[in-house]
Amino acid sequence: MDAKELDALLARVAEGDNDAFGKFYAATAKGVFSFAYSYLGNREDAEDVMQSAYLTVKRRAYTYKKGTNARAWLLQIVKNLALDELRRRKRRGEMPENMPAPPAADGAALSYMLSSLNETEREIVVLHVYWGYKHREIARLLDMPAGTVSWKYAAALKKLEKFGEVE
Amino acid sequence: MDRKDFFKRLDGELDAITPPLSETLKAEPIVSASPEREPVPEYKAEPVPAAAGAGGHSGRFFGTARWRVPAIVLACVLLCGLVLGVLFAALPRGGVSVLRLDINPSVGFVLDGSQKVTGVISLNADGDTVLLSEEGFFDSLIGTSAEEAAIAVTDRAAQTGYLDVTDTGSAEGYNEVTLTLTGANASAETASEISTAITEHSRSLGIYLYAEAETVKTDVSDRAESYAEEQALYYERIGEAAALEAYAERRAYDCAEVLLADALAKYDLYVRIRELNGQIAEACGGSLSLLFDTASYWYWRGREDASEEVAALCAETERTLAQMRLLFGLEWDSYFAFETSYGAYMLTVSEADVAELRVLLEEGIGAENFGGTEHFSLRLKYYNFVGNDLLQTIFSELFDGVTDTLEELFESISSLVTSEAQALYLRYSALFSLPREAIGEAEYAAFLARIGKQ
Repeated sequence: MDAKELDALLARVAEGDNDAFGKFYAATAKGVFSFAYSYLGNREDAEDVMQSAYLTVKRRAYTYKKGTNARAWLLQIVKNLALDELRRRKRRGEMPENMPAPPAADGAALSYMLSSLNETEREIVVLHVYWGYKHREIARLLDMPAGTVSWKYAAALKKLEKFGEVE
Repeated sequence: MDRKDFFKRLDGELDAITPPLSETLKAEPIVSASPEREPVPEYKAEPVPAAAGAGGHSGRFFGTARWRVPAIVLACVLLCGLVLGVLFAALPRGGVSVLRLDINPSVGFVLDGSQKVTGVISLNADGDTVLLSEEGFFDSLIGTSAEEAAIAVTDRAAQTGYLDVTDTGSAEGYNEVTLTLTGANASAETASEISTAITEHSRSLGIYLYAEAETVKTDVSDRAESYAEEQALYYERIGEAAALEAYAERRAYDCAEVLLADALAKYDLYVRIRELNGQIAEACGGSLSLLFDTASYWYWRGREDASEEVAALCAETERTLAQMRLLFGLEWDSYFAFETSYGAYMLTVSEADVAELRVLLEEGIGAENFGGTEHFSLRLKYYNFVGNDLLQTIFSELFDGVTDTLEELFESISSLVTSEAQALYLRYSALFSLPREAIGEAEYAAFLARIGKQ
């Protein structure tokens, strides 16, 4: 679904249309889940954050201004919630310096992506592959030079291509 | 695993575990209007007792009408001064200019009035290789002076194999750099200073290089803008589909040239090492033998009883072997080991193919000599010689038209360029970092005379 369609859908949600919310969920769920997963590294926490994010969408839909940027608005909500969860983990002393590789139960490719890429690389890959952001847009979102995004994306792909060798 | 297969698999895994819309979430009401807020009580200011002087202000400075007008005038003057000062500081003093650096990798810098780099753009595939050779290198050039940026890119060109650091000032095939400074206020003096800085820097590193500076006095505001656009294209790969396809194709051909040049460099080193050993054997009156190695570099290196000719040939073999080791990670401890490796390498390569591929590189790879079914056998020879699977996939997709989306094609090309850039940097920077003696003034003058530039 392109950015305009997503924007139109969210605008309808903002007007109270629950059917539009269902469609909005269907169009964005995988992207939201993968984005949350890329931060948190496990399925349960990603599901919790995803649930909270869509609850926030329903409760704060009136704050969305039509024609601005639906996916950026949604992703900001997910990112804030994911960062809150990471902060909670840190406070509870659950988060080591380097996140360990998650169990492979959720799928070998997903586990491999989480263990082989660092947080920034995961974020760039998910934003580009699942959200269709261009490198320059990602650079703006993550506040880093466009050249660095391009470089990191290429480096991430190179690591992902080794998947078959270590599977 | 191919990235497409990886993402397909990842997609499937995510499909399986992404939770569907729950009943709780479905039932949650949408808040479609801002919740009512408690009305804020209207603020009513307390009546202020009148000051002793005229007017209603109670402040000390503004309290009197006598000071009010001069104070406002003074504030306005200060404000105007501040605004003008900021504007003056922000104004480019010498106007925008563009510095083009042509080594073979071509790179353009957009410079502000203080000759600081505000934009960098690769102007060809080799420029990509240089700029993408290391994470952050491209970005690190922004904000530096034109001189620093030109030196950094020249060094990087040497570290990625575009400047021959082993050249000893030969009259043919010497390193040449052209600098073109274009701008309404472009000064020949500035261009010459940058060119001298590059030459001096290279001399201090023992690299023979001739730099020529040109100045073009013309307004480049438009060009600076087009540079910015090209930079956007470079990163985003966006635009008209047809233009993108042409761009992708050109980019793939450029990559193909870089890879072919690299593969030929390896072939030439193999052949040269073998030739040199043949000459050593001839000079010492022996014959090369795999098992009883008494006529090769490995026997004669460092021996005091070696003739002058053999010692010189050994020195050259050592330099060539060092290049092979640093560039391609190959080294041998005996003539037997070298010959075995050479034999295995040559099994997959035919001299005729190499000659054909060399002509291809000289002509420049393009649709007319590489694309289409009529050049299929040449492409096979190319893939066999170069052995890069990713490039083979890219070309197959281009020629068969099976690419899912142009975006994917660009991702593949971008990945190819970046990975090659990193590989070249890793190899040639080792060669670059070898200790070399600085080139003295007299030696450099002799070099200039040799190449007819003095």
